Amino acid sequence: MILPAEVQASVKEFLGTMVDPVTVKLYAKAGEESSETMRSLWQELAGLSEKLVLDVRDEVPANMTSASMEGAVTELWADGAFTGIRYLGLPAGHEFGPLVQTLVDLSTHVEPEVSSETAAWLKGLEQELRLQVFVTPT
Amino acid sequence: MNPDKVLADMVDASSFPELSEQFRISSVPATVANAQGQVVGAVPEGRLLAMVQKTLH
Repeated sequence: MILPAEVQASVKEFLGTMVDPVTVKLYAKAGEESSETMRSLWQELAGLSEKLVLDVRDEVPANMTSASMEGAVTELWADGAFTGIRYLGLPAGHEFGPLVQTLVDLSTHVEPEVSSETAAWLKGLEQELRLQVFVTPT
Repeated sequence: MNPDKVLADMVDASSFPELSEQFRISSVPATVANAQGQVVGAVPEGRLLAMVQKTLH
């Protein structure tokens, strides 16, 4: 078990507010540490809500090669489409809460907390934008 | 918000050390846009947006 029982209980309650299903596509590398941890974590989370659908794949995701896929990659899908949100490695520590919040936000169609100007700019983008947010100290 | 154009990766640097080294990440959070611009810290939205927009011109 990855999550302590009391954390599981509060996460289950929060995931209970999900409305529409969210699909988690986990790209895993056999034997790699973060892949095995993420496989266990997502299996636990999927067991807490029937709205959370887990799809584990033994392949390399888009925009990556087998060499650049150093660890587990998780894609979040909603309404049958990729949301553009990926997690590379483990969403551990302070990242776990925002991850669960993102699942609920996608499921309930909550708009991101950005200004209306930024939202309009993002929606009108014609060029491709790749953001990489590094979140854990090396 | 615009998944056809925007790909947002939250990177656990300890699981992706080579990617982190590629961008010389020494402290977090650090945000990289289009492999060009980089800003360190939880900066205000306006500053982040300015960095991102600069990489598109």
